[in-house]
Amino acid sequence: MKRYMNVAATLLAGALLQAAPAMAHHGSNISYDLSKSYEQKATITQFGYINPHPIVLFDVKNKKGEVEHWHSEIVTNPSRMIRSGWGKIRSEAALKPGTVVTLTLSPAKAGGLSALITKITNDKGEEIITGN
Amino acid sequence: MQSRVSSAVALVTAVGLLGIGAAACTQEGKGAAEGTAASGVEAGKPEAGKFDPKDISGVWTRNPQSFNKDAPPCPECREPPGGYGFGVDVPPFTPEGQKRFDANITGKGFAPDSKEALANPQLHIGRRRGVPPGLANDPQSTCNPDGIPRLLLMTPAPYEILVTPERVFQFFEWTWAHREVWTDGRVLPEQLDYVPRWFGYSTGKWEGDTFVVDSNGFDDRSWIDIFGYPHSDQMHVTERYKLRDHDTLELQITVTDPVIYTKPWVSEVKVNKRVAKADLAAGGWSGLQEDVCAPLDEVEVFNKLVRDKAAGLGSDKK
Repeated sequence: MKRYMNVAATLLAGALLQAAPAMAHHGSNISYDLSKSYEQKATITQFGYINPHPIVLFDVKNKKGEVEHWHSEIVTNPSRMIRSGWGKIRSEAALKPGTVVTLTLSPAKAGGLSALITKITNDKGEEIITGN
Repeated sequence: MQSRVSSAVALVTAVGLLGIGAAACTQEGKGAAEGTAASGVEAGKPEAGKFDPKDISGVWTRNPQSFNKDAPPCPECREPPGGYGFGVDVPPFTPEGQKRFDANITGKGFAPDSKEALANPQLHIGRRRGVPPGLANDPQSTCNPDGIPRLLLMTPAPYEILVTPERVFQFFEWTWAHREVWTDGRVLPEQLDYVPRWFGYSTGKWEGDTFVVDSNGFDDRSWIDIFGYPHSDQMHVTERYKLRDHDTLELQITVTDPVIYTKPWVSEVKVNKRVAKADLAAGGWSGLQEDVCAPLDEVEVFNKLVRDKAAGLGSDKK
């Protein structure tokens, strides 16, 4: 189910550089293994457009066909989201419970059903929320 | 002497007041999106090279591109690896300082065994000792006030400076906090005769073109920055604000705290860029966002559902 991506080193370095202040602020680089990045089809169950840390809960079907309930965060906050065009109405519509999206995830180093979302793609293949 | 200072302050603040009206207008949503410079002193940018060196009113950020993707990059606004902190040249701790530093467990910076930490051995240990935030004891993560100087170091969250006749205010987007700097000529309060404050007690005066703020009376539970550098209630903070040009504000901070540090700690110069009003427009409103830390959201929702699980606390097994 999970497809580990081979991310070009330069691309990753660039992405990390760009995200560095936010990462450092959130401590995401400590909690999550940013060297592991994979795409995952997921069904949104809850999206909290809340300050200062938005949350995303989603379901994933594992190899055994069981549904896993995951907890995650996005490396941004509503202030940054709204400044890049992702206000509450648009964001909540894009991540309505039941919406199927493709997430790029870095798992929690501690394990469990916990991950950092670095990219969200909708069913049209467009990057949403995280990409601006 | 004091009256001369007061006169100078009055003159400066009178100029600043012109800005307040315009700044207040920016808080009104109607027509807020199309507009003038955030400083409010004049509609557009001043002629090249000409600016009022005391016009510090306005909204300032250390990451201008998060407000305007087309803004010129500001590499000098950036900080050393590990995140935005007070400074990399940390003075040696006193024994008491070392004890308090060790007691503060940060969720920021680099994890000790990470490749970033190993690649940056020159960094002070404060930037190389991070644990998952769920295992840290950062007062901020339960929405306690950041205080000063920590709040001055947050980025890209902007802050607004508002000059009034007797006070200079700073309004911070991050945690939606404010702080007042008295410019009416008063002196800082006597030690032991006040309630300690997260933001301290502050007075300000102009020394030439530099606005100098002195503060004391701090609550010693706040951290100096995200890395958990401690301070005592004896900390004295001096901030020096200087406009390099109309759109660039430099800030250098000195912490003097003999209980914790063996000599004064001088920060690197923090370079802030002015945010134009048009760049503050978002979602049909313009101005600072209410980036408040409410325990109902942060503690009850984010910490329990996300932060703690990422630290392996109460996480579900795969």
